Amino acid sequence: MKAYLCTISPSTLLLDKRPYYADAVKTELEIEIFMPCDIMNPVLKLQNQYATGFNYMYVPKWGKYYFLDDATILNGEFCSVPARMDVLTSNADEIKNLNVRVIRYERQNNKNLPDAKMPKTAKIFTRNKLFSTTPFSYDDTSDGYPVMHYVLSVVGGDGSGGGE
Amino acid sequence: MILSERYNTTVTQGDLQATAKIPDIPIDTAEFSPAYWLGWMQVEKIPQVFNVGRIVLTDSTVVFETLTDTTVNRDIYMECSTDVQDNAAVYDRFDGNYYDGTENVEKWTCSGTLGTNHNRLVNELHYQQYGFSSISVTFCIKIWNTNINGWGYVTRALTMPINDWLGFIGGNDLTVNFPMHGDEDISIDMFDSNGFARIGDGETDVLFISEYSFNQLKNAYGYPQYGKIVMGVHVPFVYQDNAYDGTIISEIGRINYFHFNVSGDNIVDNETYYWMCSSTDRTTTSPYCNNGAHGVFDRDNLPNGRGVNDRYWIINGNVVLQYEERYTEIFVAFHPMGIMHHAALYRWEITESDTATPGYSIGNIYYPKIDLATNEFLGELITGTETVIKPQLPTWMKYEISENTYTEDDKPVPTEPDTDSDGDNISPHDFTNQQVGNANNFVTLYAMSADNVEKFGRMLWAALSDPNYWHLIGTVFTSDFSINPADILSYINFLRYYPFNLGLSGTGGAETGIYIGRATTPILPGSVGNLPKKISHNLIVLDGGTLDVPTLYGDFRDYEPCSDITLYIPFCGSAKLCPSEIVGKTLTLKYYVDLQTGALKAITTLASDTSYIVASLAGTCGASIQITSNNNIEFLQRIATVAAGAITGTTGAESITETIAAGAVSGVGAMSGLPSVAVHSSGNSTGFANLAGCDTAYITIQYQKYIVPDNYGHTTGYAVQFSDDIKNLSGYVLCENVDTTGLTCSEDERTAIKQLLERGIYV
Repeated sequence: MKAYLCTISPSTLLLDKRPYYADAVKTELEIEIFMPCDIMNPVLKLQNQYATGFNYMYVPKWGKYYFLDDATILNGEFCSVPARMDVLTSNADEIKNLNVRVIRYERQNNKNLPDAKMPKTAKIFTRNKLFSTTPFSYDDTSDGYPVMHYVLSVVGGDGSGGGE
Repeated sequence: MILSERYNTTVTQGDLQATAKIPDIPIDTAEFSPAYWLGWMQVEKIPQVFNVGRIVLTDSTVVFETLTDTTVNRDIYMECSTDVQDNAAVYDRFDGNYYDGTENVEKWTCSGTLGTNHNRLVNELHYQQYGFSSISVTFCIKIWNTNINGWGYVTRALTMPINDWLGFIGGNDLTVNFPMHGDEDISIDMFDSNGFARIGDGETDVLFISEYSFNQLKNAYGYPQYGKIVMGVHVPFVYQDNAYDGTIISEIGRINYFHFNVSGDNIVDNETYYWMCSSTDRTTTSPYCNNGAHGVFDRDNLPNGRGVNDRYWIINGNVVLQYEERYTEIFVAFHPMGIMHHAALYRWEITESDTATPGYSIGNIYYPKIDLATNEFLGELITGTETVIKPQLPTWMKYEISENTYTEDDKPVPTEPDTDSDGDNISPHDFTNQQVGNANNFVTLYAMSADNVEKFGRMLWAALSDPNYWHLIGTVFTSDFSINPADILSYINFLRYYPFNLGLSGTGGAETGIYIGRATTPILPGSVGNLPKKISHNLIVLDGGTLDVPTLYGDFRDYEPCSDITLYIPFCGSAKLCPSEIVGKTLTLKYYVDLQTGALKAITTLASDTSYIVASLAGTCGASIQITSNNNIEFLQRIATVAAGAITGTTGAESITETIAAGAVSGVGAMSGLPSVAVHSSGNSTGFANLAGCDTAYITIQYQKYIVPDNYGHTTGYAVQFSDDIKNLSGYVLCENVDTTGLTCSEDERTAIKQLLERGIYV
């Protein structure tokens, strides 16, 4: 079965790696698959010369992309290379049409949503802020106003003499 | 001429359905000036190329040919300048007939001799006109601009003869692919009055184009003028007597919106370019496309929110894309995008600035959405939404596809509470205008200075020989008094010190001596100008000022449970406040003091709404001065205990301190292990000791300190909550409860895809 092996560098979590695959230098091989074959995780039988130098593969027959893991040398001629389907890239076009609910996103920030993942330190800011003024003053000086801090309460005292 | 509105049968192409529709309109109104419209399409749900046709300009004719096949009929109307109106016709390539709009048929024809035409493909619209050679004709495509609520238009003036076709209208969205003749001065452009291209916008499936205007774009070695957005579709086309199959690049396809004003190469990384040339008989100078006249230029994997600048040239009759710095010529055509969407919008807008916003320096794409129920346009712009009344489209050919049966009302959206409804106001009683004064002369209050008090005391208890001794200074009392000062003291209720100047508070009237009991002669503990004043109102209102509650982070961290706010009121103590109630707002404080009892009430409200009480605290602010040992002390107010503050400072100032919280935990949560108030207090105090402490009200805000690494967004993402198609997103994306409906892969793959999306991927 024909396959195209190459090396690409983007994150495995990148949705569509086809541009990287397109730009990569590919080696076309007729590969053998160890049977029974799991389409999601096939194991390739390759000549030892191809044991290293590749981390990605496309199988036209299946139309799927695969990550290639570390090879295991079987003998002097062949090695086994486990492959894992890159489900994201293999289904990129359909995935892009999915309507999803996003709860974390690189390009937007809902500032009113609590972010439980934001790292919190043990330090506390304490900020004190005074009101702009206060009526309370113990200062006996004044700008022309009489300074009166005392209140005397007396019985009667309207100055009329009461029942006199 | 009035064009009747008619409806055709449903046209199906793939899963796209469209129906031609032509409304009534007078054609010679000023509204459509220059009223040389060509036609427009309204298509919804555009997964595939939807060809309508094209306009072809020939040696002596401009042919407007519809797309027809054995099952499809479309109404197409075309208008040319009034001078040649009678000579205009629509040519149906299939049956070779020319149709006259005055007839009750699809097309519109004119009289005269048929000229030659170069149209040869099934999906071509030809505008054919006779006797052109001496006539200048303007063709016009117009697009409804939801931003300016008007038309953006494209016109082209041609003088016959022209040796090549003019262009066509085709594609499932609006498309114009114009002129490809080596000597043509053609540009592709759509402007509004502000010079911005307006085509369409928003998350809509309906693309409505009515007119398309274009400026002049010079040929290859000239400098292109400022073309704006071009939206196009790769459709089958014909060039110079050769027919070429159209190509749909992918099931969905892509739209390229090109900005014609380029300086330098602003192409960003990770872009992919696909070249597909569908012509084999054209020579070309392009190193990338040796196959002929028209290629397809596609852009994919473009991050959102970044504009792209390209330059387009006409080279050898082909529209090409040139990157100035690299001087790379790439033939360009267009191909359709499955869904007119934000994806297209974002793809179109690419710059090298990560902070560029959609539409930046390039212009916005607008296209209206059609509400099938009301047939009204629902325009959604990049920066907002607006609803526009369906514009008059009498001259446009409109295609309507099968109605979408899903409506917004079907969504089981939970009812939102009415957050705009008002609750009950918790208003403080306004004592400002209600002064409670002494009643019936039971008790009289006098405001006194320290000197008054000192002299008054001397008058009572000075040595008998002291000239200040009241008896010696000749104070005359009624016969009710003996000369024993104790008798006078029996008429005194209390003497109290207040930590504010009663002389400023406006409570005192004119200065006076002290009248005691029924005495008609006052005691004068001082000289004129320094005498006590009779207090007319028991209750005074003091201004405690305002306070702008600050924000530190400007986000959720300013609110509970991430922050904690305590209000301290002098003589009253402290109270917890609710950050979400007051952060970012201004507080107003007023003190209400009962001079009779020394009681103090401090009421804090929002400055923007003084009927909203934030906090109400009570205390005592008077310190009694013992002047007698008898039962008159019962008039003295018991002094409440208050917390002794240790903060001093200038009124209105702030201070920030950092402390380490014991037992603080990571993540958002209650601020456990933290002191509830930065100022600690214990014990009670009375009398003058009670007056010690901060004399200005303040708040203490405690925030948890966070660390946000530079790559936080890229590695972790920010907290959001919205729904969208993945193709409209870019960067790190973490989803929740992904519905994999629509994926045709195996169940194992669907499961794996769901898991990855819910762990986070990069788009």
